[in-house]
Amino acid sequence: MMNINLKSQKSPFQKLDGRSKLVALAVIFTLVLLFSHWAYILGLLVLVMLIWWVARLPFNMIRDLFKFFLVIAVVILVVQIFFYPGTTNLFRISNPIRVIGFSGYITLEGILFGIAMVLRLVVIMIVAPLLVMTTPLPDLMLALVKLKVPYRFAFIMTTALSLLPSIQNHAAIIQQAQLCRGITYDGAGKFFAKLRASVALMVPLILGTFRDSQTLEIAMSSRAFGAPIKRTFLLESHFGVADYLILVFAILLLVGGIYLRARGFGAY
Amino acid sequence: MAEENVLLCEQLSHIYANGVQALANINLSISQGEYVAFVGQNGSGKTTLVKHFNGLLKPTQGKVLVFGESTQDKKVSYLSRRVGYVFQNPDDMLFCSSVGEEIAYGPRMLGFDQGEIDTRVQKILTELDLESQREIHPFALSLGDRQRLAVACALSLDPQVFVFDEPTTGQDYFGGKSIMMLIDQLHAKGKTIIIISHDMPLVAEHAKRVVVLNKGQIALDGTPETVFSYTEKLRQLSLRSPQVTLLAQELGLRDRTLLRVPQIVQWLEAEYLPSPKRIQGGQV
Repeated sequence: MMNINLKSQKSPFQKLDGRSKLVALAVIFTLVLLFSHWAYILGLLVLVMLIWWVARLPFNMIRDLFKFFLVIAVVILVVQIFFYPGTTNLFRISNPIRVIGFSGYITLEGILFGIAMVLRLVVIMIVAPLLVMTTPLPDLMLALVKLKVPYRFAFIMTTALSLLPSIQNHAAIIQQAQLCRGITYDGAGKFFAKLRASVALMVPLILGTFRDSQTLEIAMSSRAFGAPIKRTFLLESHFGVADYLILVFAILLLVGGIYLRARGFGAY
Repeated sequence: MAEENVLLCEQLSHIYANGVQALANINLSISQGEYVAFVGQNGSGKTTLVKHFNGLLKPTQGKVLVFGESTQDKKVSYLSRRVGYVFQNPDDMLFCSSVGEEIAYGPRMLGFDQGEIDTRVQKILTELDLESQREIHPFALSLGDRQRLAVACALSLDPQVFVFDEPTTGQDYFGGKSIMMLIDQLHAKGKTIIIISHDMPLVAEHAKRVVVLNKGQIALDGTPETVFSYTEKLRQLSLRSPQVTLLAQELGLRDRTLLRVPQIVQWLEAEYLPSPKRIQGGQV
């Protein structure tokens, strides 16, 4: 199971203020949704990989994440290849099937658009971990609050993130418990057996998570969460030169991206 | 008691993926019908060790033999027919819509025919006094009954060895007693029992052998009387002998170790109350 806690490592990216990281990654996220041309998205992917490298995050994690999303990626690719209304026919594979909108041809545009969508998925997939794995949760919450995100929302968001490792651990324990009851997760392609196994995993996991959430709610209430007072923070955030540079770069990137898109670039 | 080794660890070491060495060169054998308790402070390697007994964890060095077969290439589903494992939190094991379905699930997974499944479910419901709750949703049961149901689920695969990870945690006195009576009954039927516990009086009362783990190694291994006589050594390992044992030591008993209240009462009576008349006369 993936270890998502790498905040103890120090890299130039980790040292940035949470706000500049949030803004920069939000810009990348916006741009990747804005563009639909494979070359532009590939450019964003290269940028994200560069940040990944600067942040000293292990690249095998990208591989693990991609494995997790592989089925979705394949579905996206196939759907786009078959249904994108391209003009450059490469080869015919069947008669037109009008009911489902399939022309009967595989088109160059369909393949390129499919690749673009898969690249988009990869970028989205690796942007979020970049923030979560390089920013301690209290810093992330402080960044959100400083960006005028309501405290309750910031708290909910960071709490959900902080629960992820414990949910992962709990899932691993439940999986072990179910293995002891004769369930196999590594059967050779027995779809329904795997479906049954996933029910066996999900029921205790969801119930357990609800129970933990209720306990958390009681603990929060007993510690005066939501009291109508002006909050102060133990931590202070410092916006340094690097943060300003990142911010300027991110804004330029966003403005440039919107300009290009408005001029008709970056899309099919 | 037969002397056949049901579990054998040879030079067993386990290093987790994050580099933490949880076990180091464990050599251990457990015979058919033994009642073994593993104790030790948190992080000493107890759970890591017992998870090797049914293949949940594989040795990174050395080997574990279950009934003579190495666990290295065996699936948990195969080993679970020989070594049943009851987790600390029964809720991690339960997900079916009724008690009866819950017990039937394991045998069904392993491909038993319906007749055999029905026979096993009925037998277990009767044995564990769960018959009246057959159609009840598992999460409507009390914690004690959910723990009994978790035992029933393990029992449905009819293993020879049972591993209980802190079976009484979170239970009230009677709930804990009830589970321990159930475990004792399994032992009386010839099953090999392995428990993990932090409850020293419980260990002293029920186990016939105590293995103390410290930093992934076996620090002490012997009968409860032997192990709990090492009061100072146990203290160094952040463990404490049962209060009865400590009281007897404080009262000057050095040549043997007492573990239970009746033992200490018997000893005090023999030592200080030679004549019943003295009690009646109120001279003590």
